[in-house]
Amino acid sequence: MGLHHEDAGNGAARPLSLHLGAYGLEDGGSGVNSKARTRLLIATAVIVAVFVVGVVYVVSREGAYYRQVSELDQGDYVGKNVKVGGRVLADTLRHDQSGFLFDIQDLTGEADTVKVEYDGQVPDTFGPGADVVVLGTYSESAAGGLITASQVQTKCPSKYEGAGTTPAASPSP
Amino acid sequence: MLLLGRLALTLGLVLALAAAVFLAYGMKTSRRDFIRNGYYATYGFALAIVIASTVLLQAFLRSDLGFAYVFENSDASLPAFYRVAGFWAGQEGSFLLWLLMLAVVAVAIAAGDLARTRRLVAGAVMVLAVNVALFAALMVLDEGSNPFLATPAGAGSPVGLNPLLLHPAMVLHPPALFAGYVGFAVPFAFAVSALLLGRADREWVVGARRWAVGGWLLLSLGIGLGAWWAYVVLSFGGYWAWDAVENSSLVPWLTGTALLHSMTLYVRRGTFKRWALGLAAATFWLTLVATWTTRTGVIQSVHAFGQRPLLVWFLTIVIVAVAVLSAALIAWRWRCFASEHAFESLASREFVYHLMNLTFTMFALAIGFSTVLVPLLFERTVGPSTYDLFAQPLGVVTLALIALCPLFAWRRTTGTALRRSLVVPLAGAVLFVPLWLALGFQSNLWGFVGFVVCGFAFGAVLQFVLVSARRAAGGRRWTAGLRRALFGSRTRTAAYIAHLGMVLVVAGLLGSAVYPVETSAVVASEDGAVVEAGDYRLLFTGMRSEMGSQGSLRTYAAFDVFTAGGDRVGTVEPHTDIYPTGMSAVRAVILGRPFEDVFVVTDQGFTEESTELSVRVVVFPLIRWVWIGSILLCVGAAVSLWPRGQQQEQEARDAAAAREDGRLERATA
Repeated sequence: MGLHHEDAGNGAARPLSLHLGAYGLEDGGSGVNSKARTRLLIATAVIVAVFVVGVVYVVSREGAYYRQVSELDQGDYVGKNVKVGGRVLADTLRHDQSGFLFDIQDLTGEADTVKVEYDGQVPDTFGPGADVVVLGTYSESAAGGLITASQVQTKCPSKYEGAGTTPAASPSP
Repeated sequence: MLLLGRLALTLGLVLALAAAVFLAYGMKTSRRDFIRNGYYATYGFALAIVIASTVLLQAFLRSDLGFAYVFENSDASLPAFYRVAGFWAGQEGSFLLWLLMLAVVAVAIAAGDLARTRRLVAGAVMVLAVNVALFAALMVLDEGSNPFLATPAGAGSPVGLNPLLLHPAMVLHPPALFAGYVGFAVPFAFAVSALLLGRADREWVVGARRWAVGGWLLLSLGIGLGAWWAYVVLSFGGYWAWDAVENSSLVPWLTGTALLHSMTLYVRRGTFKRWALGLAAATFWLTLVATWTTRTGVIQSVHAFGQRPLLVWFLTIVIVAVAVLSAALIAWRWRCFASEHAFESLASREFVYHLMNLTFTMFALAIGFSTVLVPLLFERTVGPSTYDLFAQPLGVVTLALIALCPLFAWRRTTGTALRRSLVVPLAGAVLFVPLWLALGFQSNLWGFVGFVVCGFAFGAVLQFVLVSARRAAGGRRWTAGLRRALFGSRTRTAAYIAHLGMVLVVAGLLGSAVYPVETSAVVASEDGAVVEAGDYRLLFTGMRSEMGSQGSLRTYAAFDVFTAGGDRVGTVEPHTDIYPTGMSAVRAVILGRPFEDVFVVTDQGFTEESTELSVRVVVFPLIRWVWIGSILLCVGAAVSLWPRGQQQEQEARDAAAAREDGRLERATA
């Protein structure tokens, strides 16, 4: 059944219709229809191209490097956006008018730490010993690495499907 | 009991394999006895899975802590409602629930075809049986996916359910999502069967469409419940965080939406056949990718599922195999599924549908690319602001396409006809401008464009009704045909409702995402303390404590809310739960106003001894429209699902509608 559609001679006459477009041409390549089809294909190609370029551009401009704390000093991340997971070291946590200052330790078993500076709101589950994901700009000074964070999330306490993140202070809902 | 569960699961696996073999052979050779035996084997594996599920359910109801899975996800102090929810609180039970739903669907399809034993349906049930066999095998082989393991000795006290999850929306959200995924397995199964048989007629779509609509309804419901839960329970002041887990449920919803439209066109007009096949395969494939994303932990989401090699490899191989086989099948039958009508003009409704399919597909690709491929290939990650950058324009474009659709006739449209049909939608667009102004919205291009397009789309829905009414009236005044236009076709009525819902959702998203007003303040917890938040004043009136759920100590901080004019509009009591385990959760409260929500939360937990409260107030304009719109989307789907006698009647009506459309176009052209 159905195989009778596969007629080689017909296909050779209209190579384009073999692979492109959502519409078949039952009535051969008559003038008007093939013109409409060409327009359809061009319009589709233009839309897809614009879209792909747009998404790639936006993602490459906005993306942050997802790294472990121990990897930060191994590459050139100064001035770049990074997203780093770590555990808040209890004795380093300071909170005053200018915001939070704390160190986070690598989660993969390394001893490396990095300082985090953050002046937004933190989720309720934030505190000494909490596992957090920090998003911000990385910089280095004599005192070591520093992430100026724009966002601090706590890791979700549950492994429940759909249990969302608790992002703090993200401006858009 | 553990043994019974494991045995039932293994039996289910064996019977599912048997069913697949019988059905494949019966389908290939047209041997009806084999098909019938395949259906009986389908009953068999479904029964085995029902038994396995019953074993797990009774373990939860009796709080049988001998089950490691119960031990990790429940405790005896929970009310029965939440003990049942423990079933799908973790991965193992989630897989079993999914399997159960797949089996029930397979039985429903097999039972409906037992007398006729059609090859097409046998093929579809075969695909579902293979699906069941694969996941049953995973559960039997992978320890982390098997809910029938014993609790190791000396495991301490049960973990219990995370208090944040003790909310009705969270109980219903996962099963709704799974049911949605299962619904989309059916069009895939029928599409594969039609491809194998080379059957490019309408039968596979007719068999699969109701399941697809049902899947779409439940997936919409699941996503809506998840967003609502995030808004009222998670208390971060939002409903969508562009988290990997959230995204992976949205992506199949997008392709699924395009699939529903393509299936309608396939049945009614014999066009968009390849779109329908491709989207059926893509949507099912994306539900698998969603499982992969949420369950393997390969994408570093804040969701912590352990990384287990067997699970990762298994799912990866299944995903690659499904992609390769679907693509190969579609390529093999490409010419067979050509459209029955040639494409005539860009100024046609076909082209608008084509654009809609493109938009939804690309939207899905963009989210999938950013969520899965960017972290995987480039070891980078993108945040909510990036998603917003393409989601906002694409949302508006989607609405614009809804708006454009009724302006164009099928096949081709003349300039005069186009101008005439612009009147109502333009009036709608003008209607929405004062709304935009009334909300005092600062100059924001997307806000303005978005609201105008919302108005345009609203007008377009009315225009849709008007056009159908004129057709139905056949020369008389359009009011004569109004009744038939509104209620004559389930699909059309569903479209009106769903499209209105979509207008509301997008308007609500725009209002609440582009124009929220957020205020944070630290106030002393003494009478007379005031928080000024936008147009509202919050006056602190006191604190009180009581016992909350799961033995928590719940402390309320009460505020009277006044408008700028000094009218008292209500009282809000944001609160903190402190659980015996030491875990604490802040709970936001929401004061609903006709056009906006006043969302009040404390950023830190507090007790009656606290001398300070850090209060955050967010005014979300139009957010309620998101929920109302979501309900309308689901109602729309429900209307198109509403039973209407025999399937044959449905087919007949579809054919009649197609003929009618064609005739009227020729008459109006």
